[in-house]
Amino acid sequence: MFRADGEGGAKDSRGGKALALALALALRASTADARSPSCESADRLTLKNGVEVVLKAERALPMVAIVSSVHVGSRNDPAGYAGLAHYVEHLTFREAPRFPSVFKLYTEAGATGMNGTTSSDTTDYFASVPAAQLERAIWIEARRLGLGLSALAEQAAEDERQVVLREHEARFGYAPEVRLATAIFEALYPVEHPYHAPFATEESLEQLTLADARWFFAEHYRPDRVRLVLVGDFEPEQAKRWIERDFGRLGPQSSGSGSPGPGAALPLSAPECRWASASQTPSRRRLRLLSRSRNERLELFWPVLAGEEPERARGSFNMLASEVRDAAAQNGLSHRVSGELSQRELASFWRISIDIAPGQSLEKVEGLFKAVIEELRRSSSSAQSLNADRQALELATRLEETRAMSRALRLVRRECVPSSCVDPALLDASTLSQLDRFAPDKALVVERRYSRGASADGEIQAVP
Amino acid sequence: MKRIIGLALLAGSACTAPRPALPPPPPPRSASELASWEKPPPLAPERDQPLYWSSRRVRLENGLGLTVISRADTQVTALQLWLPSAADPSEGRVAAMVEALRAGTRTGPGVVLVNPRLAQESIGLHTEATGTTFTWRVLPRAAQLGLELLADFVQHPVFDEVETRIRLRQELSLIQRSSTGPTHLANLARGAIPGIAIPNPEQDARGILGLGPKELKEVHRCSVSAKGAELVVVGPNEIEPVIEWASAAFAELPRAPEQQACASSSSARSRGAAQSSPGAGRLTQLQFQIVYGGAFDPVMIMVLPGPAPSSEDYLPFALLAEVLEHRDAGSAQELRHMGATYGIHARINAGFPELTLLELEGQLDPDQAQAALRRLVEDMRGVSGTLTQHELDEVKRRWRNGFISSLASNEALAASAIGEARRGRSPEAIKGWANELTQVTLERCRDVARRWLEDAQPSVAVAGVPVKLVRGLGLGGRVRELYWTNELQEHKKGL
Repeated sequence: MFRADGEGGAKDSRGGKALALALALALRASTADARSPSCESADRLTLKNGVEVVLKAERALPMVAIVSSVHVGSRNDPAGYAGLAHYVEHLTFREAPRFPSVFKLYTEAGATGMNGTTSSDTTDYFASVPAAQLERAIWIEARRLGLGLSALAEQAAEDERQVVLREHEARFGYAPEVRLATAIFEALYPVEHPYHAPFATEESLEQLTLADARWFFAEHYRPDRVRLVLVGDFEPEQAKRWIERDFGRLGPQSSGSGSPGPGAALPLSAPECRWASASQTPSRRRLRLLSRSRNERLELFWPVLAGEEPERARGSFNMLASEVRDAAAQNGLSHRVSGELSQRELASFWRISIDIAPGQSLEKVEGLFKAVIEELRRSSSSAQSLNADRQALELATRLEETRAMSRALRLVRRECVPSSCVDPALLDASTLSQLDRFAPDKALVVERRYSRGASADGEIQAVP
Repeated sequence: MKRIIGLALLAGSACTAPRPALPPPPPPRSASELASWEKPPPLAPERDQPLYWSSRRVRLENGLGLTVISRADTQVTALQLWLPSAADPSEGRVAAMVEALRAGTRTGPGVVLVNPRLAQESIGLHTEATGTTFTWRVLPRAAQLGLELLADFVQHPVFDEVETRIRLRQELSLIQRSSTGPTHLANLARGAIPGIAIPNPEQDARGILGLGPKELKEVHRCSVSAKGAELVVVGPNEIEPVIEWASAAFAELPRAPEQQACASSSSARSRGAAQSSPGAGRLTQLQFQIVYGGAFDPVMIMVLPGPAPSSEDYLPFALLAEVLEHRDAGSAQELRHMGATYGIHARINAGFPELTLLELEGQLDPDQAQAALRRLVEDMRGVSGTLTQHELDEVKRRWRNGFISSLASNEALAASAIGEARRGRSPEAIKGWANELTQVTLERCRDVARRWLEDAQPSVAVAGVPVKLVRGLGLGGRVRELYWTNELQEHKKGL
């Protein structure tokens, strides 16, 4: 029987508290080396053609994490072409006549973990390569940008479109989930916001063509939108020579239109960044998806506020998520509670997701959430739990620093408003008293409800 | 009365409006520019990849094996404890007891709960047919406390009635969750292999509801012991103090389960010798489990028994699994390139005492599902004749580098050390894994493929294809048809 661990820990609720043996009790907080990886120093330079390079050389293991990030994402999909950025990402991996695929080239070099991701803001290509093969890896990523989609055959593009459709099916499966995701973003961001756009659907993906992809690539995959990051075992000067040789010769593919097309990516100094400083309030407070799935769920979203440094609220958020998890388990209301900060370039949000246990109700879970917040507001943080939160954050930070690829993906991140480096060990009581900003009445609440009605399946309602 | 606004139309309206035409793409890059990207830099010679750590392996008085690995430049201490006596081939009682450990442990001043927030991270629990593994990561300066707490967690449960009910209710929810979906599909495929007992979610649920503190204590007494057990600690801590801490913390772990009281339960778990040659455990014909229902494109898992991890055939067999997934000329990649699948992934499941399972799984395009299934089976059967040195070398290179990358994590190294300890080897043997790989020759792989794969009769579970698709495959085999429901029970219709 394969039983993986679920969420752990149940708080004693009986009269009188049981002793909770905290590892933190005997430990003093340490301020050494517990910083967020995005704060680590690195060697930075910019090539003449605008390619940004970030290098972090170290000798822990004989390998290098390489990330080539293009500053274009799903927010740049033209209207009616949702999914185009993602489709282009897939196409850059395909083989073409005389040109083996990226996978094949990396595989020959013994690379692992090669993949790409498309977010709202960027498209990132990454791999872990043996240190000896760094020259090959740099060339591969430069080739991806230099070759473009010019040599790609129509059939290969059509085949890859099918792969994208399969991936979409695997991820969303159930069409109303896509519509719900769109509705959530529409509620979180105003109409003019770059993130206020429909998610890709099967219909939008079915209509994409190689010509569309070629136009998108030429428009957005320009050297001045590329950031290359290397973390691992390499000689910086030798790496710079290879980068200059291969990335330095990249130039923009000439655009037939002569002017930026719809949805063009803009540098961080551009007016789009004003959204990063704008206040956000969800336009709706509650969305409800009715479906025949019995897996009910309650989610709460809180936009990161203008001027707020999310890392400083992380302590409060983690504490809240943990308390909700404990209380829900204790009362049999949920077996899975998760919390995360979804960080994006122009706007971020906090999210808590609570899977409702069979036979329990959404109302009870929501009532529990409110009760937990009230209880936390009333009781002040003890020194013990404060120290414990610091320890937990310190452990989480150290675990992130373990892998070169995690750090490379953080170094590649762009921010309109640079965040300051927060030392988990310096969290104090005032930091942990930011619970009010996670009140339910400040959240966008999303319900997934079971409904037997014949016409109800997949209906999304906005509940005032 | 609340006014509820239906958003179904709004959220989908962008799809119905005509979309603006995009500008035409620019002319393609020139032939000379393209040609300049034809030739990659040559591959550099592979570098020697020394691995640095110091280690010591001892056996405590109660028989518990202890391995300590010291890596000065790491930041987290990983603890891992493997108890083969806490194996759970199918009944679910041991797994439920392990989960119920979270309900409280008795230590020092009284009853404590390992609150995951206060203990930085929750203790990971994984019970399978070969034993139970406990995994934990702590800050290095908390290593001693971590060992003490882990030992108490394992050795001194309270099984408080109220807290236990909470934990087991959660376990029940998890069972219900896993009774549908890909996990269940995988269990269906595995369950067709002779000798493998796959849990029945309904049975598990009934069993769990009947477990009270008295029963849990009995299961604990019969399951938790130092017999064959291994404890591994990997971190920047010095070796000698860790040995001292671990010896003190786990001193009370009993040498073996109580003989008489536990005889009946241990005999149910006893097994024969490890499977090192094909024979028992193999199907005589293909076995299809077809599950109707669900809204997705066909999902498939194909399962085939293989050699035990202790067998000499194991490493070549594992490399063959990688070859089947990644080879360019193979069906898995070709199917992906055709858009017929979103990738077929291969893995070796080593969670059984006498054998392993080669598992291929992925999602299929409905129009090409039949061709995909046929090609995958043919590819598997034919690999002994088609395997080339080039693709074997590629797989070996990738595997070695993947292993090196994984060593960034002390937890991964701890798991590898447990594996070596189970084979009676020192963790220093891990440093020689790269050499072991180079000694696997093409001929050896072909021989293993001939014996284990040539007349392979896999067990296949597919969700979302009609039975006529399977009957038209032309591969023969036996077919079972099943239906998803929202309940724990599954309805079986016909054979």
